[in-house]
Amino acid sequence: MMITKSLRVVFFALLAILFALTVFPLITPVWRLVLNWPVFSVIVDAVNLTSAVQTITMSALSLLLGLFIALPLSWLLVCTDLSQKNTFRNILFFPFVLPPYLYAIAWATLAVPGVGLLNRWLGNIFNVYSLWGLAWVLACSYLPVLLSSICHALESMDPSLEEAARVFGASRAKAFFKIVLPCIFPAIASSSLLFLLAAISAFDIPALIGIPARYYVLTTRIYTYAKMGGLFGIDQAFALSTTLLLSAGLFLFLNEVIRKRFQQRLLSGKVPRRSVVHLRRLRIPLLCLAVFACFILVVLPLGAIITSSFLRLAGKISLDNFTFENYRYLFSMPETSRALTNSLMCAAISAFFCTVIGFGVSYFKDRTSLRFRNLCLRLATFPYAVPGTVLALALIVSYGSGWGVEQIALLGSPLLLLIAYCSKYLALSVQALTPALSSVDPVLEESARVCGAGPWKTIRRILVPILRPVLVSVFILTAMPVLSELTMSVLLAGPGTETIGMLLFQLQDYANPLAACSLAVLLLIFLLCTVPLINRMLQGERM
Amino acid sequence: MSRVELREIQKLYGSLAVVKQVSLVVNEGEFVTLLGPSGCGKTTLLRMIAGLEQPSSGALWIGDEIAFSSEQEICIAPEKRGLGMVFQNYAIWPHMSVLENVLFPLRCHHVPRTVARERALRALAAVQLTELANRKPHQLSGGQQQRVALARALVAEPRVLLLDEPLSNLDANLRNEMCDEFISIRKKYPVTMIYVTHDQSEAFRLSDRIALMNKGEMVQIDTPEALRQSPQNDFVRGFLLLK
Repeated sequence: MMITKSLRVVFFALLAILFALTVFPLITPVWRLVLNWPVFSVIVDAVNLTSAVQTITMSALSLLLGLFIALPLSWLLVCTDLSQKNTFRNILFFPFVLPPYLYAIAWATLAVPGVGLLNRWLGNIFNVYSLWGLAWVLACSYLPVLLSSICHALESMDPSLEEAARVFGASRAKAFFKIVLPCIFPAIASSSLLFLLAAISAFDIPALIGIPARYYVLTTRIYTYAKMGGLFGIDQAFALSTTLLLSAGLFLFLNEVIRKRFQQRLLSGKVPRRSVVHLRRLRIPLLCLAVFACFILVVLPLGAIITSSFLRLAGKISLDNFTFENYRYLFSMPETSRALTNSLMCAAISAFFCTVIGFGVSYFKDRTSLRFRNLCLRLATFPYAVPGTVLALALIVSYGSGWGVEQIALLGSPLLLLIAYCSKYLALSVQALTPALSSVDPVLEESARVCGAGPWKTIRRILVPILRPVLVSVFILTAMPVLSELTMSVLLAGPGTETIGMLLFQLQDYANPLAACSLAVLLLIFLLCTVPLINRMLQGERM
Repeated sequence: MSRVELREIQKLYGSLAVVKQVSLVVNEGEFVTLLGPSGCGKTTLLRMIAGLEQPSSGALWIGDEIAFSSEQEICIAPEKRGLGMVFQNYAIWPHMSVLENVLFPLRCHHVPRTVARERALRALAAVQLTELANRKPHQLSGGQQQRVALARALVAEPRVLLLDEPLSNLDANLRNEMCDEFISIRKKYPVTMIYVTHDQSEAFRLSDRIALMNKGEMVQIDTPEALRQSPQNDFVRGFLLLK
């Protein structure tokens, strides 16, 4: 479509905003490090090398655990005639919307040595504050990444490939291992890389589970430098975090290599219905196994949080130990209302901006042939892959100090939080809006133009009303992670700008773990309410 | 009603010319069809007249106004050309009712509410859709959607009506019926019409003159009879299946 002058101006304004949100914050600290290169020695410090090794060990172990659970479960959910498959799937995919630290809080209440609920019931056999505990909690909270990708690959694989092997004489098992597994290998590999990326850049679980276990990984070490590192703390923290940035880059590069190399195998689109394996005698035992998996992975941890929020003393379930005291305590703290207000405000404002900017980026990408439109899209999406710790430190260095002018120093101000959230979560809105926009036939806008509407009127009267359900769900989709964000908030917020995530972190870490559970329950209820809302938006208004 | 004049209009995609130096004059009130095989550049030419695509070179007049000129660096936006257009897949806005769809062009031209409503209802009556005014587009059949598109294109009394293969999505019976509809509409709304199709029977039935295109070039412009009786070259003969 033809570009008017005003659209061009908006495009360059958008490009400038994206530069300010993504390129400038990441270039500034790198440049500072180049000028101040001796600070890089922090990377080869013995303590930090140990942390690097521990990061790799923890991530690899959690990936192994995750695959060990995800592979058989995906097979059960897709390839067999297991009953209630959709219910299982809904339950197992639910943790997608939960912030990972809820799992840390849940397993801390379940498996703390001595007073953990599980340890009380089963004898003191679990210790969550250990490498295995850490890996287990990570595996549980990032499991949906693996599950969704492997299930999707199994579903979209052309069943005739497997059927052909059967016709040529392969047993079902042989066909699975020789044909199906190699076919879905790219999906397994690529989701494993994303899982690893999430695990090495995770801060919340290693902080809540790893620090008490004296198991330090890179993110927690960076946090310590930033918070207690003295004069050069921030620089040292950023120097150390370059390792995370590089590994994120490496993982994304490998992911791209896999995508290109195996492109012909990554099938999608409509494929014939696949035949399912009849479980026969194994039906009941495997059904029990699926129920057990749902119980351990979702019901037990969430149940533990809800139960603990009503306990006077941790770990003891009895009527006389039942209380509302934790909720009363929570609402008596002045920080609670502040955190709720801050988080809600931040979520609403940044979701609004993410939706508007994301709409702009998708519009220029899909509807125009302007030269830098692809750059625009890249700038909007790449910060999502940058670990939150790195992004937060980069923002502190580039906007925190105000370059000597105190009036524009943003550290501790809500504006810096908003910049961080917009930068990180803009990708979510762009990724949802770009396909939605391209599914709207451009002819609808062209006919409005011929009828006499200018480009802005066409966007306002035609495109926005058509995309309204998608825009609303994108708003909710970006507001949800902001509402419960922890990693960046911990580094960027100051007194007065506490957020829900930070308050939960403080309560769980040292103040009152049972009150942390009550706050977690409130968060959980809120997130639970939004899921059906999004579904209804997307289905109800479909025309 | 306005006359349309194209002078050496050319459209390049990179080094590939999809429309090559096309010149054409459509007189006031005339019905001219751009006819040719798929990919011959007829839709691109129509979109350039509408202003939805910018020619690489040449000049375009609508009435007495220059709509495009590469020499004078003029390119009038589509909304300012005062045209009506019917698209191949109708392009009915799904979030508006039938009446709202037809009202939209009048609102863009700031026609007062009561007058606009009256005119929209008259346009709907002209295409026999008065009873369906409050329906949503997804509740209409293909033929009905086509009529809405036609009413919407005519309601603002455009200087020129552009039609981009409007009948190609309809079945044979409906196509016949809509052809009659176009003929009767021409009597009710005298307007200059430029019609794009690859279907000869439509072209011969409706047009005052036919502009036959091939590979981006204008091959022959003539009345249907003249085209049949004295085809200029082998392509015309072959395309029209003449001996």
